[in-house]
Amino acid sequence: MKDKTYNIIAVLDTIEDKLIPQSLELIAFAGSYTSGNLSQMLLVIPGKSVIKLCESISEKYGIDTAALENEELYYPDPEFLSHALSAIIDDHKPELVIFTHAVRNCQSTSILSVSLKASSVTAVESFKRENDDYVFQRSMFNGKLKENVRLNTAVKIATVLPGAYTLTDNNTHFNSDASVMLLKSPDNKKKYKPVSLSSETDGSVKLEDADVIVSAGRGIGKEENLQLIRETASIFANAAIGASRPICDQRWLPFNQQVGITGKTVSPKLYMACGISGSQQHIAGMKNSQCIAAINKDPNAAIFSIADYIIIEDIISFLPVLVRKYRERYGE
Amino acid sequence: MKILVCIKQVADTESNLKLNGSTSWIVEDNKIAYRMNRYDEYALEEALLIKDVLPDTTVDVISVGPDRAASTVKKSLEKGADNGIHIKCDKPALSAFDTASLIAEYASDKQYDIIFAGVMSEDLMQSQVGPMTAAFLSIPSAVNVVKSELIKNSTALSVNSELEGGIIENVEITLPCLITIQTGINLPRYPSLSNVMRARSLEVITLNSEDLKITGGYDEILSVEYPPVSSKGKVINGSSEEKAEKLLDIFHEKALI
Repeated sequence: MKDKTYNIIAVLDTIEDKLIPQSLELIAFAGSYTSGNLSQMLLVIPGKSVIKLCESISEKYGIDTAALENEELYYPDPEFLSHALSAIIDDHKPELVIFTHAVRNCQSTSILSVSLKASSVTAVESFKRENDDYVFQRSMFNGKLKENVRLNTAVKIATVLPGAYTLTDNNTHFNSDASVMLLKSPDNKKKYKPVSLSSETDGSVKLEDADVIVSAGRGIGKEENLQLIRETASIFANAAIGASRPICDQRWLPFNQQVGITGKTVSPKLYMACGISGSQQHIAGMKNSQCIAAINKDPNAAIFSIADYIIIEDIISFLPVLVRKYRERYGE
Repeated sequence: MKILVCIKQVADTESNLKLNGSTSWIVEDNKIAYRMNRYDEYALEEALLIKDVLPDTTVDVISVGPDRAASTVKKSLEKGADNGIHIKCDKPALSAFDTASLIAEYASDKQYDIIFAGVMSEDLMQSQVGPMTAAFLSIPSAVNVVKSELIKNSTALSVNSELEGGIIENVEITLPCLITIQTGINLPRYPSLSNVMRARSLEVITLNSEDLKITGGYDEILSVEYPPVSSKGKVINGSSEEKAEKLLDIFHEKALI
């Protein structure tokens, strides 16, 4: 496979040989990074039997694509994957290797970074060119600050935040005779064995079906104050109660009411974020809501960056006022 | 069983974070509250739960950071850890690569069966120190773990790793290994009085980062900045009552109430 070298390798995500569509955003990122020249880009798709998938992706986007096949890659296996990728990266010495930002891809990035002595950065939101260097931007402190990071090795590895780059029609058909190759990954010693996949679904709460989601965050302070959230939800006809992760971690609400990357992705008509600071992982789960009203006593809360309506108030004192005003007006 | 827990002291994200003059990092003054990284509290608890069941277990905690980090190491001792190790390093925002190489250097000859770490730190949010430490030590790692259980006569762990969208992947991982812990896996304990008394007599072992081999310097923070101010959102002003009225007007316009 040495007949061509690649300067960008993007590793797409699959689960049970099915592509996670969001990982195609890496093409948009690479398009931006190379000013549209993706002739030296390689897409790597890991899985048990993914050559057909590779053919359709390669044909659609006009980018060289490699199926990285092994039985072990049917379920996500960052240990195995990074071992297999290491040889490919070593072979091509690309300038950049990219993954979609997810904790397991941070694991692959970390393993590769150590084994290849390559610099890496995770959760990249954007980049800019400074002289001959690329500087990557990412969030810190729950989105309150951003940092600019420079990677100082020839091979650079990054995870790109989902939603940071959007795939458009301009990102298709780069090259009409893009190739597809099959890379059979060698087995390695198994100290890490994926056993099964399951999904935490529970029909009792239908966050997805609600017109309005009133969500509680750390700002509620204590479990009893969930009553304020329930009363607020009761002013709407079809509302459900959601929560940010810390509330579920405390067991104040079940995990199936958690909104975020690690919970549910929702897009109601109205999302009311009550005392939610707005971590990246929470915002990713609700940013497509049609209208977002955020109430937080911290004027610098990250949630305000995506809110349509910003109310700087402590929810503990404000929500009772809101409910009282509603009752005065509508006589309930 | 010999367990190491990697912990970090972080500035509380609710603190009023201000950039320093050279925009290289935040101003570290007494207005900032420092505490244990939340993910690490759950990692420590996971280790202590094993010690509860297998009393012949030693739980060591290790932290890389400036002088103040010693107080968070001490806090872990108060919660029940046996030994606290503080690798002193004054460089703010040390890279994940450098931090992991320091921890791995310390751990390399200690034969830990399990190393626990939090999924990420709340300040830098990289999710890398754990798996990089494992890679330096050539042991397997499992990340984003929401359930962990010793199996096969304590030679392996069965762990549930959280993927996107609430999918859970069950993995068997052979010891020695490193596990990064997600919040919510357990309910971290408060220090007991007896452990607080015990911790008073325990010394934190302090090492100097310069005395340990460090291999990185591959990536560097050039600058830190505030995110752009949102232009999208409308700030609703007035008294609490006026804000409530305006919000109800908006809900009414949108036919939500």
